[in-house]
Amino acid sequence: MRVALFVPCYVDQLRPSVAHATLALLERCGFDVDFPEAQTCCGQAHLNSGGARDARVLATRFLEIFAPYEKIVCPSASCVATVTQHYGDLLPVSPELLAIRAKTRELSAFLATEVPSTALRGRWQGKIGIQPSCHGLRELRQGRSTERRDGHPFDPLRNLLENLEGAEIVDPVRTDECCGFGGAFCVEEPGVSRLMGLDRLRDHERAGASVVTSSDVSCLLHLEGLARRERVPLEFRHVAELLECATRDPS
Amino acid sequence: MSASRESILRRLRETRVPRHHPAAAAWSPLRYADPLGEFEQRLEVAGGSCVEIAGRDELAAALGALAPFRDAEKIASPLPEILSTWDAADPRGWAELDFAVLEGQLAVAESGAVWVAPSDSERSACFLAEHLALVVRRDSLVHNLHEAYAVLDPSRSAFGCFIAGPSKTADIEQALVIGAHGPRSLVVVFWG
Amino acid sequence: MTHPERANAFANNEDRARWHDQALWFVRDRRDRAMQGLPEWEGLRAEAARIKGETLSRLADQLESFEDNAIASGAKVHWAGDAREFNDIVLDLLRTRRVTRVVKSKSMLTEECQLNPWLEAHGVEVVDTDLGERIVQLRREPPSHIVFPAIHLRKEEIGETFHAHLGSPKGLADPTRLTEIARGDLRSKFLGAQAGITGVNFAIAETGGIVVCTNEGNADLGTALPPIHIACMGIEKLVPKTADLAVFLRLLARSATGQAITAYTSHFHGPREGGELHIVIVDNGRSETLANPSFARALSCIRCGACMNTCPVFRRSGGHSYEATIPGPIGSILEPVRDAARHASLPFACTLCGSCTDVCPVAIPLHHQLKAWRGELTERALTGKWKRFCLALSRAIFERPGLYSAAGRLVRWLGRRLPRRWLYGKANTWGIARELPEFPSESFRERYRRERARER
Ligand code: SF4
Repeated sequence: MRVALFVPCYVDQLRPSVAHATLALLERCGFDVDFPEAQTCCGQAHLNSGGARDARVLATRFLEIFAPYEKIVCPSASCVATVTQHYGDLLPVSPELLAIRAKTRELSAFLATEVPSTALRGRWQGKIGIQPSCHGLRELRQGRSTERRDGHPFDPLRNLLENLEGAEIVDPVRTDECCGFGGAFCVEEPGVSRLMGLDRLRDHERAGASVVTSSDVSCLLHLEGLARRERVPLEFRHVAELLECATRDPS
Repeated sequence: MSASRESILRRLRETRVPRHHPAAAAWSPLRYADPLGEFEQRLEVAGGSCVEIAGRDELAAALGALAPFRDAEKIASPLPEILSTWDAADPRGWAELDFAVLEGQLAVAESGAVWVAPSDSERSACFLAEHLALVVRRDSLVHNLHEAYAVLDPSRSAFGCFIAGPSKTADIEQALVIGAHGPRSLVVVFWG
Repeated sequence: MTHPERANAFANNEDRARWHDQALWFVRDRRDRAMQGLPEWEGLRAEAARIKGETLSRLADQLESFEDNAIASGAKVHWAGDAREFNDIVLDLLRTRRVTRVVKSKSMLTEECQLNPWLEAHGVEVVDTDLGERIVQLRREPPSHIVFPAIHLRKEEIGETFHAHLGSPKGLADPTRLTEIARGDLRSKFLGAQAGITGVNFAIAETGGIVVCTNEGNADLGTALPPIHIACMGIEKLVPKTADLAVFLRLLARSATGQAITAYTSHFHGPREGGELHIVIVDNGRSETLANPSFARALSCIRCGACMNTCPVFRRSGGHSYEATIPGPIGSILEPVRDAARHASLPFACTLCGSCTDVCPVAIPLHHQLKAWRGELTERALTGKWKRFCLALSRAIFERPGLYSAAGRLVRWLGRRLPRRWLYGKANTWGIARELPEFPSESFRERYRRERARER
């Protein structure tokens, strides 16, 4: 299967290790991965900040660049949500748009559905806290939202972690509260954003986590920045980084 | 008719509101294996209590077992089984009432609520009394509100109310306080 | 002032903000438990959304049949296009009946129209009888939440207020005793009132009846004692049939407080004998909201307050930070329809986490509407010039992969080289509370290209 790697702009520039880990994981699972170099940004930040016109330009670009691929995989739930849930608000419905929407998957969802769990066996020593991506949770419907009364939700991130030997998932009291990043929100509303983040850190710390993981990088950058400032001894690993490390062949 | 009425209605008629069709999964309202048990539990959580009697002739004795009723000086009730000791000509005249006993028409298990449709003077007694008892037939108990409205016709009386506990508030630091304005206790008596 | 300015002030008092957060989370938690008790919850929500959607799509017909049936039951129906007309109608009703003492139960509509100050200015004493509303009325503050008007206050502060206004002992802060004092005071107001004003939770088109929900029983006392009842409702309060009430009542209290139903759910069909029932139907901008396809569904709101309790921003910024009659997520949609310039910061006071949308009992896509508002405010040039410039500039860069790579390289280089003092200067709002991420020397694409070139 020919898979396109969709690397969000801020991951490309600020946390390239997540993209490298994603690439390594996909190749390890036997996929033929290509990174279309014309890609830059999906337009999420523009759309969420009110810049629908600007986002439309970037969405159109995205459609052209990724059209040739069978699957598009991305290590950021919020960027995937922008493509699959919100491009429809920006662009007229077309076969191209529908195709892109159907092909684009968040990494953990892709792995959990396309790869047999035996291929992702690994080891992880330590207690893991999950900070769910709000867009993964409430746009992509990946994970359990405490607000809703659904039976058995699709929770790929948790399933992948549970597949690791030695890994113990420790849930905070508020399992799905937002970390307070929110794109431009984190700089426009610094007081509230900070408090939201600190409350998440405390909650994960109390639960006994040593590492916090997520399917979004932005949440982790925000939490990590806060933890370093406040000297909270928590580590932050994106699910790609964590899985790549855990499933690496020891030999 | 007022000009505003016409202009509001005109504006609304000129507006095309997009129809919204949520994808609704089939559902049916919850029913209980033990509706009476559910009712009792709901009412208890809401700060009320329940008594069961076999027949109306036991009503006076059942209420007599309750301290608020025993201590009550001014009791009012349209029920023949209860000896009223107080009457008022004006709605405000019920302000001193200690205990009111009224007939309820129907009880709802899921909400721990009883439907009452009091007459005008019973109505103020119902809310001014320090304590309230509602007497309701056991076989009038329904499982949920859907069933309740299938039986009830609220438009038949000027006033009708689901009562689901004593008056209460949590407006000061979320601390639950019973007896905000109206009755400080509610007992529901099931008979039959 | 903008939302961030007021919110920062609230959040920077960390102890208080955490206490406020916890108080509302407690309500959210109770709501979750109540929801878990109903297996059909999601079906019920969809049904509620469907009924409201249908009603709104033929609202004029529904209002007319409501009016016909209400009149047939003996009520008088009045129509107000805006707040001014509403206030005039109510004042006129009171004046012609020589009413000077009024008790009022909770009605956000009267808050929205500023009815109290209008009546007071014309010599009518209005007493808010909901305990929370009474507290903020005595303090001359607006309510900070639509279900818990005094949720922002600690019991000690309420004790001081009661000491000053109701003569309670100094230092008294026990909720039970404070409530008892309010009960005594309000009892005399109920008994002395000449008219009672209430809001309306639901209006039934097929019967002309109205439904009012309270826990305190204040709406019932306020309408059982005085002979005149004035009920105030927005045009969106309608449900077509009596049976529809089951759907909404099952959702309302569970969402609002976690109760199965409020202690009192009162249905009024016409006046009591010898009394009067007046129903005032108010538009005040609602028909404009309905005409805007992006926000029309916001009129389905049944004012349960759940979106406020769940909102992680509201819990840490307080209701007053919105400076709006209806605060929180739903207020941030409804208020800008009335005055977009004044409330332009509200749709941005949100991380788009979507919790409000999932919690809303009538399934209003709140966070999508907030996002839509951001677009609309930008189109109307009501967001900052600088922000709009940044969006256009970054878009222009993202359209050119070469330029994008160069810009990224420059930023990362600066991030690694600049002295901390410069890096954490005034312009770095990220750095107020957090450390910047470590800037990598190579972007993903740079290393990818390098490694692939070597492979070849
Ligand atoms: S928008 Fe929904 S959650 Fe918010 S108050 Fe209205 S009904 Fe409740």
